[in-house]
Amino acid sequence: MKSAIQLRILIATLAVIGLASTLYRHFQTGYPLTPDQKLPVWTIEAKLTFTAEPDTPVRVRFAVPDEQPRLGILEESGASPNFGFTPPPTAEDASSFFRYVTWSKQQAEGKQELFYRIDIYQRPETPIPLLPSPPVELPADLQEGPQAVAADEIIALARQYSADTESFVSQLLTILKDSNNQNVQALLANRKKPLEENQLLHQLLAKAGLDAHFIRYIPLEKSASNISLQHAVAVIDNGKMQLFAFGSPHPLDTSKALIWQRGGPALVELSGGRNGRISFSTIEQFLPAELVQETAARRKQETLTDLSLSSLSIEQQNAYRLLLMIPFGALVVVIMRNIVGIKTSGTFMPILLAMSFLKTDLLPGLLLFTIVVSVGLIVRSYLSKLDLLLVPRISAVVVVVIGIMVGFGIIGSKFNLVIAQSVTLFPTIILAWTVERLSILWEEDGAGEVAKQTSGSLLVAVLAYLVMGNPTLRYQVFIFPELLLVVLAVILALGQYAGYRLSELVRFAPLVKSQDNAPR
Amino acid sequence: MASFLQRFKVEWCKPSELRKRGIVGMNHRNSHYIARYNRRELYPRVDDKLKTKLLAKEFGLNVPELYGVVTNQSGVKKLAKIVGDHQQFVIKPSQGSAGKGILVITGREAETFIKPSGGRLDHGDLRRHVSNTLSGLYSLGGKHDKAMIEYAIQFSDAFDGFSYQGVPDIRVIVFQGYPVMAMMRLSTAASDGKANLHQGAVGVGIDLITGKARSAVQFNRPVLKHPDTGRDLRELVVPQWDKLIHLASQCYEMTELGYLGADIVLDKNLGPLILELNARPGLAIQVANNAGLLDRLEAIESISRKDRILSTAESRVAFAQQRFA
Repeated sequence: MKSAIQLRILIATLAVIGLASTLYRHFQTGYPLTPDQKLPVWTIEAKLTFTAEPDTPVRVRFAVPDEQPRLGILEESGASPNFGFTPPPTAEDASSFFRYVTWSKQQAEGKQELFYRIDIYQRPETPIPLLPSPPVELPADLQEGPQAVAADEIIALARQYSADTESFVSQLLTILKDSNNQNVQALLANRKKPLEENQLLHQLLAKAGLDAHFIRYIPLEKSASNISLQHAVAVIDNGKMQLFAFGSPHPLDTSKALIWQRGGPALVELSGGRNGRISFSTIEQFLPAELVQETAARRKQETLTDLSLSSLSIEQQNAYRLLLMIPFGALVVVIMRNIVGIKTSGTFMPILLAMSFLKTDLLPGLLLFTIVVSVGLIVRSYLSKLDLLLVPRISAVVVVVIGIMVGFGIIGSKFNLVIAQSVTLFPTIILAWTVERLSILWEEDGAGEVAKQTSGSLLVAVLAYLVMGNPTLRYQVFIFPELLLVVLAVILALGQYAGYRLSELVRFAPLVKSQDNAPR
Repeated sequence: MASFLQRFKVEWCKPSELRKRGIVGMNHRNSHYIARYNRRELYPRVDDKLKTKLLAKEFGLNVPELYGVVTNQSGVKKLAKIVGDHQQFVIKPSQGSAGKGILVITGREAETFIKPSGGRLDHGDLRRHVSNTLSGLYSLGGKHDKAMIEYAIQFSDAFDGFSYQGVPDIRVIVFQGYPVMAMMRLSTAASDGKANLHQGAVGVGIDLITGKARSAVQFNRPVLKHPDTGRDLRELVVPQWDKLIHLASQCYEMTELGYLGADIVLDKNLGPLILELNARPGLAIQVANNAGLLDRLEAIESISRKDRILSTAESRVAFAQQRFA
């Protein structure tokens, strides 16, 4: 009795942990629960135009965005005919505060066009180490004189009405909007452009001793062309970054504002050219969540920050995808054997068959199985007449089975059959063993039993194939491998089932129906 | 033909009806009886027929005489010597399951051996069979096995006309030493001389007191006559019944398995002999007896531990005959 209670506790624990972890990760990290959910992806294109000067090497250094806590990079590329392109350093080399791409060419003439493209996707808050802001050099008028006094007074006033960094910045911005304030008037007298206003904000924050730096960002809109970069100030507090722009006391939504460049140096450094001009355009599109996750994973394959399976290489991922489905196959076998009561040849043979079918697709797989097993059985019945021991005989069957497959391949390629191409992937050994087992069964228990167990195995294999091939399930267990704990819990729970199997309702029916006319 | 078609007519019943009749299902048998009463480490005592045989001799229980054992391929050469001049003998794998790999020789003409079906084999055929056995062809999981050459049972005349070819044996379910239910398995043409019910052998429920047939089934349906010989199955009586059922009951002390199926044959001269024992006996016996096992098993579970441990085979048989007849 005690072990039964233990088992129940174990089952409940496993199920709760599995489900809770799945839901927690779903809500916390935003991994969608179904594969067909779509995520917005923005393609931002920067177009650089300039006129090249003759007989001088051309070199263009262009600042590009980096990964951000709530925005990730899917792909980036520089399309520029005839220019040498140096991509930005990888994320590992993020020690530099700035990130640049470089185009270069020995000689160019006339109008030149360079394109830089980047795909950005929204992602759940991901911790990214924030580098300390570069030191700020205050302009002379803010260091000394009446403007410096005005700045100090504004800072003092904002301090008075604030409790923490965020509220301080908000207060500061509210005060700066107050055009009746004489200090504000003094400071803004010769700062009219948004660039200057935001620079003033940055300088005031630096003067107040906050960790802040000037940024250029691009607002992520549905789709827009010919947009230009906006200015704002990034305030870093307790390892979190917030963006503030002059004019609004509220921080910007960091999932909708892509920081293009941190710090204040020039966006483009151009040598060997003049009349440089930049324009940006954005396109918003919705892509399947799985594709987005996969592409993102491929990009940061080497980084160890991500502990999920999507950080593995694509090849490994595919292996794990199959591996993770096996427990579901096992669940199908448990249900079919212990609840329904179907006889199969070999306990887990159906799973192996289902895995083969996943490789070959169902109909070609079934066709192959039928042909290979029936030819194999014929050959095996001949081999059993020769004086062969078990292992050599099975080995001989393996050779024959491979021979059949080679024959398939040759015939198939002649007639361009799709089946033939998947033949090589079909697990030969499994088939050889199946042939061996079935032929022994045939000798001992007759053809009826062979038909019964083979059809049982095939039925379970097809069901397992349908479950294991289900795209939603495959996606879910790959993104949330902890779901396997739930599968384990279900299997353990089924292990307790001591009731009748469905097949027994048929098997023992005569006992119930014919109790009166039994001979006595 | 009609009965053949009847096999495919699907009949259902409700789980509650089965429960009412006390039918034990496969899952219940596995989890409640086999897992609880049959300790894993005791299995070799019954899964390895050679061990069973040696154990039975030690406990003084009757088994078919062992002529010899071939344990490795080089020993196959000795086969002719083991067979010697025996006119009748059986070659069986020590760890075979469900009757697999059992070769019965019922006659001999010089160096030609005759199977019950009339098939003829020479020494080479026998060696190949033994060699296959050794390489694990007939054992569970294909592991290496031993081949036993033993006495071929001389069937009691009492079963003339009740069996078509093959071995009529009696299966007794023994629960904690108490015989619970018994059945006789009669091979038929449909079962190809084999005694497996699902292959078409006839199962006859046997009364625990008298050894008389109480009901019979083939393919899960009641039958009155043997399908091949036409003999009225109600006339079937197992001779030396008390001796047989005592022998079955004694298998408990010998194996210590709580839930046991004892397969016993009746030899013309030697009386009841233990053919083999089974730690996972099937449930078809309920159909043959037209009765469920559950009430009987529960009756035995309710016996006090003291009474159970101090019981003898005689008292257990007496208890069973009093309660389960």
